[in-house]
Amino acid sequence: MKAMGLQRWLSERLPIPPHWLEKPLKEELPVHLKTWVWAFGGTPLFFFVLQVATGILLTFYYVPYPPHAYESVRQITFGIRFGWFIRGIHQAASQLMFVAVLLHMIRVFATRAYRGPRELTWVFGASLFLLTLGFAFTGYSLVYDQLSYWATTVGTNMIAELPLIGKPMLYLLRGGPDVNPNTLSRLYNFHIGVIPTLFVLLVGMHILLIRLHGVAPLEGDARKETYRFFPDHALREIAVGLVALLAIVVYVILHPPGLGERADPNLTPPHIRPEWYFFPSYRWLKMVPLQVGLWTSVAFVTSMLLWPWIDAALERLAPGRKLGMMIGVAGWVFTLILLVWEAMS
Amino acid sequence: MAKDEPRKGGRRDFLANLALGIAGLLSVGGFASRLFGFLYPVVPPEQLVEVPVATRNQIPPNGGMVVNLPTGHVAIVDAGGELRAFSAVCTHLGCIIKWQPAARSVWFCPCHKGTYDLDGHVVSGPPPRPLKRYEVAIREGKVYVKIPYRPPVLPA
Repeated sequence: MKAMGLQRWLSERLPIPPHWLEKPLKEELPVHLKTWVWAFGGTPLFFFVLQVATGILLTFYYVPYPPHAYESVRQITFGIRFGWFIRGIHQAASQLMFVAVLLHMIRVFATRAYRGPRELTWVFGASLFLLTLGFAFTGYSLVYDQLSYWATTVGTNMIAELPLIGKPMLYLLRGGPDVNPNTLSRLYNFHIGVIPTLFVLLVGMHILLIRLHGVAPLEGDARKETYRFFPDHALREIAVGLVALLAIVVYVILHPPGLGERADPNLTPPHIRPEWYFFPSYRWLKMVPLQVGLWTSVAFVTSMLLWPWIDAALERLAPGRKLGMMIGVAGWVFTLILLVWEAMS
Repeated sequence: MAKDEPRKGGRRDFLANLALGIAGLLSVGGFASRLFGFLYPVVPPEQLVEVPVATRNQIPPNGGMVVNLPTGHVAIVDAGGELRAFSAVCTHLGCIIKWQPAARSVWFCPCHKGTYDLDGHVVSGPPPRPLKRYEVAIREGKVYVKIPYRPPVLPA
């Protein structure tokens, strides 16, 4: 009786029509989604939520000011109770979030699910990939150890090479011509304010478009059967998330996070290298002149964002030849070669 | 349509929309310019300052070193008795070079493996430009270098 009363009280104060919730939950999905490969779409979101939770916890102790930043990370890692655990989860989940976004992108690419009318879903998704890299870059810069400091210097200096807008953009990002105390507070702001806000907006748009368009049909799959988003598909996504969480927890317990040497603006250390997900870009920049490296990177990112239209244009140019698929695969393989090459050197 | 009611899409509507558009542009533009001004740092101008970097006998014959000063990073080299000074900031992506003599080069950047010779010219790797050269003077056994210095950006 009391429960009924509470339900009525709530429904009077939150007059949400029941079909608003039922429609998205009971959505019928094509049966090809019933394999695990299709259960990675929600995984990046799961990691993002985990990053927000652990990130908020880290802000309780982190001090975004150069003289104290490194010491505060040292305190979190070695002094504060379970600090190593929270930082470890944040660090490991950031890497897995990148992997999850990449796997999801590769799946969408391989099944050409980006084709019209779903081009914008891809654009928002690819932008989320770039924001994930932005999270990684700004997050690493906050640690303020040697690798962090010099990665910030190198990464931000690249912007200065852009014609006309390069220098103003660099000044805006760094809060001055060089890496200075303003730089850390700006990167911190980007990490905890600007990028998460953009990320949430883009995730919202991405999911909204998926729901409005419905799931992309799979080429060559004539089956007409469907199954429900909830609970069938949702539980599969939750299972992937829980397995990933378990893996992260075990990994962090076995490999607690460490900390490099304190940042020294006077000494670029030997054997400096960014995190592994920046290896392709790092290797490429070592191989080619700076302007070539910069413009090919711009071209790579632009063609990734505009891929649905590029693929469609290639299809019109040579129908049935799958030129787009070949070029795309060549791009992925080349990136992978650069990554492995740098990892082995 | 009532007699006194102005015609839709007429001159009065056009002027009202135009005024509204201009007011909108002015307010958005005014806000945007102030937002940009708020975020864009006030960068003090660069000035040339002469600073002591080492004593003459600290630099070994045909040797080199990097001196880090609050005003900047200086790479100094003894090239057959002649002292040459350069900015120690790699022209590629801003890492600090180090003295590491090899077959053709003497300066090495650990970030992307760029190398430079005694004249500061690029020998190998991705740096796009030679090292920036500084003027050197020796007075009473001390080595002075003229370097461009920019006071720290405020607020620090």
